[in-house]
Amino acid sequence: MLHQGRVLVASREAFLCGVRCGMRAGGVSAIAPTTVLLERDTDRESQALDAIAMALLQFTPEVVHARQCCILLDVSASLTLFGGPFALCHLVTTSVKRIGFTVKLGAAPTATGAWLLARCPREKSRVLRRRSLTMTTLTRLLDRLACTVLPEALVHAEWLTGIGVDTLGDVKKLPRAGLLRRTDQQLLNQLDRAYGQTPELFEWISIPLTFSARMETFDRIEHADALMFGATRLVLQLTGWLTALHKAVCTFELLLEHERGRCAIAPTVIEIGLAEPAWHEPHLLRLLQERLSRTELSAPVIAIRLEVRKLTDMLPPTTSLFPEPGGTPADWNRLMELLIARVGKDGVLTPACVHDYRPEVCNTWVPVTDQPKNSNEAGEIVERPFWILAKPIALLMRDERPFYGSPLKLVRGPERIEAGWWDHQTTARDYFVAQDANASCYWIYLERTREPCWYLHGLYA
Amino acid sequence: MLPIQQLGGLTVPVGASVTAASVIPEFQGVWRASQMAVCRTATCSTGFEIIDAELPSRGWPRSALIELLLQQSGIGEMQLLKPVLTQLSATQKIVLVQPPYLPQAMACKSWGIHTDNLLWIKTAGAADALWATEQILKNGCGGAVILWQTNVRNESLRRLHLAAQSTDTWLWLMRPLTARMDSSPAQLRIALRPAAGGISLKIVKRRGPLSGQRLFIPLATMPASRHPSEQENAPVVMRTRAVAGTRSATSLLV
Repeated sequence: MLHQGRVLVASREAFLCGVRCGMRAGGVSAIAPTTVLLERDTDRESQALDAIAMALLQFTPEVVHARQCCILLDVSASLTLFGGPFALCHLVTTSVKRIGFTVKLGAAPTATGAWLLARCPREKSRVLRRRSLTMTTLTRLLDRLACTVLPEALVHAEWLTGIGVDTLGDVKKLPRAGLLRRTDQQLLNQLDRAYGQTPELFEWISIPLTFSARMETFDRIEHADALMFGATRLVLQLTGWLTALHKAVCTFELLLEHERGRCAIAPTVIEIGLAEPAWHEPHLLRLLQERLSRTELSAPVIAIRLEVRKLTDMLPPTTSLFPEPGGTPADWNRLMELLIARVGKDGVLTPACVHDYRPEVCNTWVPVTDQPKNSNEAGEIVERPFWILAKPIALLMRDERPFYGSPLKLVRGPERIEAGWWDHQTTARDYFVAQDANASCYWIYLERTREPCWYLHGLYA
Repeated sequence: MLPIQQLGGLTVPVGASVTAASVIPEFQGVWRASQMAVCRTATCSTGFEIIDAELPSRGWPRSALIELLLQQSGIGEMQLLKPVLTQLSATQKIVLVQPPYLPQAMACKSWGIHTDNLLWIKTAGAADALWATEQILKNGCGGAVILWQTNVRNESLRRLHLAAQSTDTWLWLMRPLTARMDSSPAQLRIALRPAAGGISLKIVKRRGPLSGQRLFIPLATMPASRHPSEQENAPVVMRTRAVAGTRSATSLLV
């Protein structure tokens, strides 16, 4: 990685080839010609930091960007909720890892102290401690830090080495008045803040009121499954944002932006509507995964974007003491969403009550999301077979009798149904119950609009 | 046949005399191979006295895979489940997964099933149907799941059985009669055949002695001929004491 023509960071392989920080680009290509040189992109860096800060909002609303690619979190109010400092540190590390970045985490009672601890470099033959919970441990840890960690001290590094001052503890021992005269106010302020002698004030990042996160993929992606990594990152940001605003999402969209060929292709939209507003990341991810595995990409994807369409307030958890037997309605709704995500909206059906004499119209099933207002209202209840054939089968005739496997014997009927003249689908049929040789019963009809013909329409189950 | 006497943890084989079994008084805690196994699982009455008498704990076992083996679809199999479905649908959801034909809501309504608690899952393939069933069972919110499958692999059956055991949802699996001879982990397997004015069934597998005879269940709502003389082919409803089968004692002692 190059910054202003000099190597800023090098991978382990490049380091083994002899590439060192601070080299010029020409030097690198002379030593290791196969090295891939990348220019530092500050825009993308700040975007990544924003994404991380957004995701970390789920742990505390008090998040602020600090200098040198650091993010400060005030978690003093969140410790109990997330199960103590160790559990919280673990959660923060894993969520940053899942976004796709590595993190060095420092924890301390003062923000500047934590910032210094997070930034101190690893040294050989010394156990590195980056976390402290009390002021005394923090003071001890800070005293041992090299004073060059502090950017204000780095300016006076030559003078400080000249008088034999190596660590922050040594700087602190110097007389304040003399130090102030020879260095500047900034250094003293930072020291005081780190040691907790002056209060720290931050302007926490303001949370935007609309959510739209975009991410460019590393390569052209041709399989929808491979987008899951990027989607995870966006959903993590979404959950952070939702938690900070105390909102729950009802509808959100994942837009897959395609590579521009000769003409621009409109992005593929995956819209996910939730029956029950949710803000939990595992559920959202599971829905996305089911949908993505069913999506076929028309063109390679180069970027994905997540947008929230509809929000509601986050509902407080239920107040009942014992869990309801047979699961809660929320559980059921979650199951419905999961099923719809895999088998599609037209695969999860519920009966809609349509008053019509024609059995095929009367027996209308609609997607469960349409929520037909049902159904046990008064209406004529007639006896019908349990199974209906989607398309009636024309029956053969043998010896003037309908034949289906064996000759059918009419046992009941006729029931005449004549309807549909109002919507040009006139049906005129005489329904009979027929029985075959091995005694199973069928619902057959004689068509009366065209030439007479027997059809099988239902089975008594 | 050696009846095994279990008293206070001791297993004592009783003498080989044929008359010995009838001489032994009916102890509490003595199981005879001709008796039905007693399981402490929750059951729900089938609504038909004839079937109840033949099932362990007198009813459909809960949290277990129940297989109904059909000669063909549309022989009265749903009417057999009608009493239990009517009872369940009042409060809980009933899910039909991949039925062979379109279910008729009006028929359900005329049977007293609450149709707003009815759900039909239409899937493209068997894999999706099995997945959906497993998800519903895992979730545990549904009241009953009825799954139709023609070819199920044994590992899928085992998986369904495991999923059913971990939940309170009832599960019926409808399979063709040809699968009768295949092994299955199901706790209860019943073969169904059409019969005039009802349905004829034979218990293929149960926790208890082998059930030899065929049972005829008259179904009131099954349309039948108006002439009673044509119903002569219906077998006489006669119950004999179940004969003890040749199955191993361990599987019966469950």
